[in-house]
Amino acid sequence: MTARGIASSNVRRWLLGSTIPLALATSWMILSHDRRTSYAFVPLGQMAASAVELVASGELVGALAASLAKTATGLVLGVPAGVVVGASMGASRSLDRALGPLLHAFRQVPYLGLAPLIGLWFGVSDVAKVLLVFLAVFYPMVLSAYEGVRNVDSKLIDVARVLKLDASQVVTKLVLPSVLPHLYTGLSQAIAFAWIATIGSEMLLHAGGGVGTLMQMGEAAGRLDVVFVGVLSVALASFGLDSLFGLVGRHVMRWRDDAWSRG
Amino acid sequence: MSVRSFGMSQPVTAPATSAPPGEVGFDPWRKLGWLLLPALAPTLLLAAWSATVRFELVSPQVLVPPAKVAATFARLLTTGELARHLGRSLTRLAIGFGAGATGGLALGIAMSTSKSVEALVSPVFRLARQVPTIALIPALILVFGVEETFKFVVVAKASFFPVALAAFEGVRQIPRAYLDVAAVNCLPTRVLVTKLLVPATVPHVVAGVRTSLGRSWMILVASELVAADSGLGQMMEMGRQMFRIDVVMVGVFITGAVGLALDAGVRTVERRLNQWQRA
Repeated sequence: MTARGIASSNVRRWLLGSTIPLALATSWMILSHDRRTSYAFVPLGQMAASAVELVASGELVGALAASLAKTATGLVLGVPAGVVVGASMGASRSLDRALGPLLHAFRQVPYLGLAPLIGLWFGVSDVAKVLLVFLAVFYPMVLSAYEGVRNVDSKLIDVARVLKLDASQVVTKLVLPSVLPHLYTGLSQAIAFAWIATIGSEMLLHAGGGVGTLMQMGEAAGRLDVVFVGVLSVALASFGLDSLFGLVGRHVMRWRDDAWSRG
Repeated sequence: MSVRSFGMSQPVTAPATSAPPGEVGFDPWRKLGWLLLPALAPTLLLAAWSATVRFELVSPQVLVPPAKVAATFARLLTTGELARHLGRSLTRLAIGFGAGATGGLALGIAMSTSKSVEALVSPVFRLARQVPTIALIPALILVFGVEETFKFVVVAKASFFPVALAAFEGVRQIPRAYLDVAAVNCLPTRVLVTKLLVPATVPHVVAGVRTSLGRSWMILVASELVAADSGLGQMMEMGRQMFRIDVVMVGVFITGAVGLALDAGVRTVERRLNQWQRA
């Protein structure tokens, strides 16, 4: 394809890509001018004004900080717990057999479905919400650590035994290289789940700060502009968490790329 | 991440785990212990639960004896109340998931086969995928009200993206060479679809369906917790408000059982497909 051909195909892509957003914005504006639908479809200008107001008053930043703090607490508690349980189950057949069926059964309960039970036990406190985040983080970490330990090549362990490698060498040379890629996948999932569980728990057990509570209150007040600013910030934060993890993760896992490129 | 199940439930690992590790010769006691091992944790849990209630370590508002939960379960079952709630929830799931998965499948295939469709949809697609479904619940309630429509839309949104992505990936991973060979040999469209496109994409789509069913189920229960006149979520929420821990626990139990059944159902389909593919 010639340079001009590529350029024109890029323009075409760009034009096509902007069709739907433009169409959506137009229909939104039409709906916001119609008296019958304007209850929900707030004029875009008002939406922008609310966004500016929520940011300027510090309300949005405060809510985001409160939500992210819960996510972080849940991750800090849930990741090590999940890794320890999963790795132990992967290493010991007996432990796997003893805990596996129970854990597997518990895992099937959707974590947000536990909200009423946890709400009864812990009220609408932050403890209840962090517990839900913890659960959302715990299971994917258990699974990935388990998978990782299980995938350690047993032949290599035998070789290590023959060569009389000590335990620390076995862990750093054999176990970690097998486990880390699994943990990487598990952690990326856990971070996404943690954020969803934070917002969900704030919406279901609404009290205290947080974006979920902010949106819930916006809904109760019929303020779609507030709700939409909430949705937007939730999506942006989710995107931000994902990108941040990608950056840090790629840096930590760069040895693996080296290994790949060396073939 | 490939989610292989724990312990004994996987046929691949079954031969390895059916005997104690390092077993030499026949030791009946060891073997018995190994057989009973999976029952240990649930038994301990049940014992701890009973003891907590028996010795009144917590208030009865917070925890009731296992027998009470079982009795409530039986009562909800015989009065048909449970069946009514479950029926409503599953109907919502079927409608929302049916619409979302069908739409996702259609869009995924369209995006993977047509460059124009991909260019048209992908910016919105990538943006919308970043929005956690749970965050949309308040907005959807404001737009559609608290009636059924908002639940269908929530479930459809949750099921749409995993299936669309799976279908997209499924078509994309067909090696270019296969399509070229098919074109060179002037393969009729019908044969191309039945012999290449469907066998290559179906496993991906089924995996996507498994993810999306799980997410849809959770999001449905969550939206019933927020606003509903019936359904498992509403049953639990009412239980919570009236401090009926037994009703809540039955609800949690059924929610888990449904999740398990949905997952096991799709897994069975996956296994069948694998056998069929190898044949």
